Amino acid sequence: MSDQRPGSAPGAGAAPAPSFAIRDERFHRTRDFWRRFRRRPIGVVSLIVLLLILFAAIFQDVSARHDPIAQDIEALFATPSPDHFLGTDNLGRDSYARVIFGARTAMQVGVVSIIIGLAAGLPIGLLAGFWGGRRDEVLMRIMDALFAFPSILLALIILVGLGNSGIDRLTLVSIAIGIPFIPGFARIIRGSTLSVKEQEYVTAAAAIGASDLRIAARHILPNTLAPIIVQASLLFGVAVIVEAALSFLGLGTQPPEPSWGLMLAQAQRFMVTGEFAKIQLALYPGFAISITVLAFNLIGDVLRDLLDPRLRGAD
Amino acid sequence: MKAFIVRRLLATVVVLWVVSALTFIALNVLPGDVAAAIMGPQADPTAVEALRERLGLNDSLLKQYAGWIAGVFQGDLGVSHRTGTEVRDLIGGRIEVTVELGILSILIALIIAIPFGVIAGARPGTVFDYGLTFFAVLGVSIPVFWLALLFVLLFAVELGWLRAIGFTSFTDDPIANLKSMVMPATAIGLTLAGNLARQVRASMVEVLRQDYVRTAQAKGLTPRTVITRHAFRNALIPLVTVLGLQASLAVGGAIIVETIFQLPGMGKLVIDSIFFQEVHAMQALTLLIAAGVALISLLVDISYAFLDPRIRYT
Repeated sequence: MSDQRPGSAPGAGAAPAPSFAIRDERFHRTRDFWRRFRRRPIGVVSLIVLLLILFAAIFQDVSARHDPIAQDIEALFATPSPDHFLGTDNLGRDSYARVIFGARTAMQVGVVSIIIGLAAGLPIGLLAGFWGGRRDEVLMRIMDALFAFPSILLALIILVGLGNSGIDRLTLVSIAIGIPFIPGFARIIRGSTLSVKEQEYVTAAAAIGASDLRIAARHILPNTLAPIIVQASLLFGVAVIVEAALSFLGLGTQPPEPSWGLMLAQAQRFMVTGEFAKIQLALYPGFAISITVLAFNLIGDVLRDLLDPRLRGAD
Repeated sequence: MKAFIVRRLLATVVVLWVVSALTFIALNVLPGDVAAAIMGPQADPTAVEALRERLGLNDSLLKQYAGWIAGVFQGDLGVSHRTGTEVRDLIGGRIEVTVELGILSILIALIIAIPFGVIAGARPGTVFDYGLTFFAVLGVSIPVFWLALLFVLLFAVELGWLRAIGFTSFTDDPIANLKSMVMPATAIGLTLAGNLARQVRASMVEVLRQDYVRTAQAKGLTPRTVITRHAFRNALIPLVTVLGLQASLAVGGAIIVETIFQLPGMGKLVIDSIFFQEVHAMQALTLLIAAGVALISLLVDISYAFLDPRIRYT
C-alpha cells in the first residue's frame, strides 16, 4: 500500500522534494490512524489499561509499598486492609505487591517471546515467499510440523530439552513460549511476500536493478507491518496465558520470583477450606491475567479493524 | 479429488516425520544431560555413566533416532527407566480419557457457540451482537486453569455438588464418569467457545449477503425460514475448518486441566513424565499428540472439500 505512491517508486526523479512529501504523508497517515483509533472506546480503554499495567510493572517500587518477597509472620492470610490492599498470603507476603511484581514477569516474558517468534518467523517467511518452489515447500512443512504441537506441549518439551542448559529461567521460559509463535509469523509474512512479489512496482524495482534485500526492506516489509502488529498484539495475550500456565504447573517461573501462575498454584492448596482469606488468593492473580490478556485481545481486534483496509467500512 | 487426498496424505506423512525429528531434537540434542538430570546433582558419576549406557545415550544421535523410529513402527515406545513399565502400557487406557475430555469440551463449545453466533450474525450491530463479541473475547482471555479453579471453588467447595478430584471410567459407571468430566470439559469448552462463536457469526454475516439468501427473501419466506433453512446450514461449513485448531487447543487445555482434576489422561501423564524425567514417555506422548492433531486437520481438510463442492484443491 505505502509503496504505490508515485514519490517512492524507484527512479521517479531523485529531487529532494518527494522525500518531504513522503514524510508529510507518513505524518498524515499516523495522525489519521490516531484519529480513527480515538473513536474506538474499546481500543482507548484497553490501551489505558495496558499502559497502567506497564507503568506498574516498570515503576513497581512506586506502585507497590511492600516487598513482594518479605514475609510477615504476624499477618498470615490477612484480609484486605489499608496497609495490605489485597491482604496477605500463607507466608504473610503482601498480595498486592506480588500481583504488581507478577506483571513485570508477564510483560517481560511477553516481549521477549514475541521478539523470538518474530526474529525467526520474519526471515523464514520472507525467504519462503521469495524463493518459492521446493525450498518454500521445505520451510513451510517445518512450520506445519511446529503448528501440529499444541503450543503448551511444544513449550514444555523445549523447557525440558533446555532445562539444564544454564540459561536463566525467565529467558528459558520466553524461548519456550516464543518458538511456538514462529509458524504464525512466518505464514503471515510469507503470504504478504507472495502477494507483493507479483505486483508491478516490484517487477519494476527488480527491472531497474534493486537488490532482493532492498525489495524486501522497501516493498515487502512495509506491507506486512499491519498484520504483524495485529498478530503480535494477540500473541502477547497468549504469551501471558502460557507463562502463567507453565508457572502454574511448576515448570515456569520458580519461587520466590512472583508470577501470577505461581500464585494461583499456591492458592490452589489453600482455597479448599472455603474461608475468604484463603479463597481471595485464588482470585487476584486470575483477574490480573484475565484483564491483561483481555486488553491485548481487544486492542488486537481494534487494530485489525483499523489497519486492514479490506475490513475498513465492513459491518 | 483423489489427487488432492493423496497429496494431502503425503504432506501429512512429511509433517509427522518432521514432528518426530523436532521432538527428538528437543529432548535429546539440546544441551542438558538427561541422565544427569534423572540422577540429580549429587549423583555418583559412574552411576550416571551406567544410566547413560542403559538409556542408549552413548550411541550416535542418528542411531538413537533410528532406533526410536523403528521401535515406534513396531509398537515399541520404550521403557520407563523408573519403574521398568513399557511406555505403551503407561499410555494405553489414558488415550480414551483425553479423547473423551476433548470431544466433550468441543461439544460444549459448539452447543454454546452455534446459537449465539447465529443470532449475533443474523442481527449484526445490535446490542446482542456487541455483547457476544465481548464475551467471546473474554472467553479466550480467561486462562483455562483459573476457570477450572473457579469451578472447583463454586461447585465443589461452596455448593458441594461435585467432587474436585477423582475419576470413574465410563465403562464402570457412565453417570459418575460424566460427573467427573463436567467441570474439566466445561472449563475447556468455555475457552474454546469464544473463537467458535465469532467464526459462526462471521460466516453467518457472509452467507446472509449471498444472492440465494436474497432470492429466498424475495420470494416471501419469513426471516426465520430464511435463516434456518437456507443460511444456517451453509454458515456452519466454514466451522469445520477451525475444528483442527480447536482440537489442538483442547489437548493443550487438557494437559493443565487433567492435572488440576487428577484425571488419568495423556495430559497428566505428560506432566508426570516431565517431573520424573521420563524421556521415552515424553517422546511417545508428544509424537502421539502431534500426530493426532495432524490427522484431525487432514480429516478436516478432506471433509471440507466434500462439504463445500466449490472447494477443489488442485
